[in-house]
Amino acid sequence: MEIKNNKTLKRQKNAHERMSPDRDIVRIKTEHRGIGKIKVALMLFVAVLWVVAILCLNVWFANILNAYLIIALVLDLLTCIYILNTDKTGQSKAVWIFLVLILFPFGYMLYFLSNDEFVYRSARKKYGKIFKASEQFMHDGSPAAGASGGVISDCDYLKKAGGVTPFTGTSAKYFPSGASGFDDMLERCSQAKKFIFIEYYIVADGVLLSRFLNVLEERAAAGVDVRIIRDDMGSGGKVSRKTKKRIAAAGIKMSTFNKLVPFYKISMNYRDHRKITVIDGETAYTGGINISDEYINEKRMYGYWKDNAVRIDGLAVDGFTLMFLRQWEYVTKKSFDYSPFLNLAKDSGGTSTFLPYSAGIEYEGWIARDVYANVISNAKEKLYIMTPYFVPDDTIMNLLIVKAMAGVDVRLVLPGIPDKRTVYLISLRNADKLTKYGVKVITAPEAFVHTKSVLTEYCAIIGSINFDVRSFYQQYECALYTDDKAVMEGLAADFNGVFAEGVQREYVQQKPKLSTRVLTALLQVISPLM
Amino acid sequence: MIEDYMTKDSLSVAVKADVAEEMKKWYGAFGWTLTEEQPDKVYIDLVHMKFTRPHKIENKDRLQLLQVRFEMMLNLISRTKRRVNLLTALLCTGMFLLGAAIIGCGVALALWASGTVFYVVCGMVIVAAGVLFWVLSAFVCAQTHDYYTDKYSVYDDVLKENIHSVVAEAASLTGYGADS
Repeated sequence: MEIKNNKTLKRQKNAHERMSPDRDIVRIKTEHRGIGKIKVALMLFVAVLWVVAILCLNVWFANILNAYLIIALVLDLLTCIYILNTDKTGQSKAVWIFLVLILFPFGYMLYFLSNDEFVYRSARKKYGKIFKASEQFMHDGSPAAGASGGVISDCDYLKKAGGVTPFTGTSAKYFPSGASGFDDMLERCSQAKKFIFIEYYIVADGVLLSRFLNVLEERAAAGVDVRIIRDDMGSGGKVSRKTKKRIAAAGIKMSTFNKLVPFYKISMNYRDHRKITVIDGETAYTGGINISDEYINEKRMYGYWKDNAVRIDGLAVDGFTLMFLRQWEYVTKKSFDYSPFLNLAKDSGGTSTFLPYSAGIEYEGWIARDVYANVISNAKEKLYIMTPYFVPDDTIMNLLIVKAMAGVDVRLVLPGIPDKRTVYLISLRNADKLTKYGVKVITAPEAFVHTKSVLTEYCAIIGSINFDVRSFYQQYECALYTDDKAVMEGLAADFNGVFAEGVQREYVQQKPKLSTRVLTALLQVISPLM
Repeated sequence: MIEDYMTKDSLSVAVKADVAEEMKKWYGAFGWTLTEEQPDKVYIDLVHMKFTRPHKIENKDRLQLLQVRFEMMLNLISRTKRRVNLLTALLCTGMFLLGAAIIGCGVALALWASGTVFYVVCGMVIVAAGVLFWVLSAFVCAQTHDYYTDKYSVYDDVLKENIHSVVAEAASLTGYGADS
C-alpha cells in the first residue's frame, strides 16, 4: 500500500464546491456533548456567587458594626489555630491558613462553610447507623496460610481501619482492558439468576450501555433483581430520558448518588467513584472502568483509553456485595435485610488472599491513602504504579523517594495524552520530582491511562483509587487487594507491555514554557485542595 | 435500522476523498469491512464511511491501540504540512508589514518635506529600501518554506514508515488486508 503525498489530497475547486474546513485526513465520528464542562462551569459559577454573597455580608457587618473588622481578625486567627490542630495534612493546613489570612475578613466563614467535619456530620451519622446495623454480615477471616509478612501487615491495617478482613476460597481473572472486562461481565450477567448489582461513577448512553440494557432487560424480565447506583457528577446528563424510561419499564432500579443541586454545598465535592458489579453474590468485578463508550474504545476521546478490570469468583465476592448494599441503603434511605444477598458463593478452592475494601468519608481514617502507603513501605524489590493523575500528598511522595533510594525498582506509569490538562501539568511536575531519586516515570504514548493499580513483588491492588488527593480524602472508592498469582501475573504482563512501548520521562528533553511553569506553580499551591 | 451491538462493532469515519480507497484497505487490515460509503452533502473533499467487524475478535485490545496510533499518525501528516504553511505565512505577513512600514515612512518623509530636495531624496531612498526589503523578504520566505519543508519531510517519512509498520502489524493480527 502507498501513502500519497499530501498534495494529492487537494482537489480542483469548482465555483460551487466547498472544501471541508476540517483538514484532518480521518475523523472518527464520536459524540462530544461537553456536559462535563458545563457542569464544572456551573459549579464554579455557583461557588463564585457564594463567595460574593459572603463578601457582601461582611461589608454589611462592617458598616453596621464598627468593631467588626477587629472581631473578624480575631476569628481569622482563632480559625488558623483551629486548623493547626485538625488532623489535615501539613500541606492542606498550610493552604487553608494561607487562604483564611488572605481572604480577611471572611476567611474564617469560608473555612467553616467548607469544612466537611461540619457539613458532612449528618451523612456520617447515617453511614454510622447503616454500618452498625450491617455489622453482623462482616466477614471475619484471616490471610491465606503462607501469606507473606507484607500481606499480613496490610490486612491487619485494613481490619483496624475499615473493619474488613481477608477472604480465601476465591479465584480471579485479570483483564488488561475495558473491552475485555466488559465482554466477560456481560456474558456473566446474561447467566445471572438472582441479582445484578451495578455501582459506577459514570453510566452514560452509548453502545456499551445498550449492550448492558439488552442483557439486563432480559434478566429483569426473568425475575432477576437488577439495581444500579450511579454518581450524579459522573453520570448526570449522560443518560437520556428515553434510556431512563427504558430502564424503569424493564423493572431495573436505578438510584443516583449525591444529586447535584443549583446551590453551593461542600458535600457536592464528595463523589461515589466506585466501580463494582456483583452477580448473584458469586461473581464480582472492579477496576478503573465505567459504563461509557470511551472505556471500551468505541468512542475516541484522548487517544487509546487504557484501563483494566478484575473478576473474582468465590467467597470474597461478599466484600463487594456488602459495599454495594450499604451504599444502596444510604442512597435509597430504606433499610432492608441483607441476608438474601450474602453468603451465596461457593468456595472456589483458591488459596490466595483476597481483600475487597472501600474508602470514603464514612470511615475515620484515610484508608485509600494509607493502604497505598503500607504497600509502598512493604515493597522490597519492585513497585509499579499506574494512575491517570499523580497529585499525592507528602507522605506518598516521601515514601516513593525513600523506596527508590533504597534500591527498590519504582516505576510510575502516567498517560501520554491527558484528559485534564491542568491536573496533568501538576502530575508531570510531581512525577519529574521523583526521577532524580531513581523513580522511572513512563508515559504511555497515544494513550490516556485510566488504570489505577499497584503491583509489588508480594501483592497487587486494582480498583478505582487514583494517586491524588481527591481519591485519598474526598471520594468513595473501592479496590481489590490480593496476592493471587493469576492477578499479579496478568497485571505484571500489562505493566511490561506499557514499559516496552512507553516513553521514559527523564529522556524527554523539553523545557516547559514560562507560562506553563507559572501556571504549574500556581496550581501546585492549591493542589492539596484538589 | 436496529444496530446489532452484541455481535458486531461498528465504526463511522469521515475521510478525505483522495485517500478513500487507501482507507478502505487500511481499515481492512484492522479487521473492518466497509458497509456504507457516501460523499458528504456539503463538502466535496469528504467521504463518509461505515465499517463493521465481529464484536469478538482475537487481539482486539492490540488492534484498538494500533488503530488509534494509525489514525493519529495519519492526521499528524496533514498537520505537519499545515504547520509548514502556517509558519511561512506568519513570516511572510510579518515581513510584508515591516516592508510596508518602511515604505510608508519613506513616503511620509518625502511628502512632509516636499519643499526640500534632500528630504525628498531621503524619502525616495527609504521607499527603495522598503521595496528591496520586500524582494529580500520574498527570498527569505521561500528559503524558510524550503527549510521547513525539508525539516518536516523527514518527520513525514518517519510517520509514513510508522503507519506502514502499524498497518502491517494489524494485518498480521487479523490475517487479511496486509497485501493491499
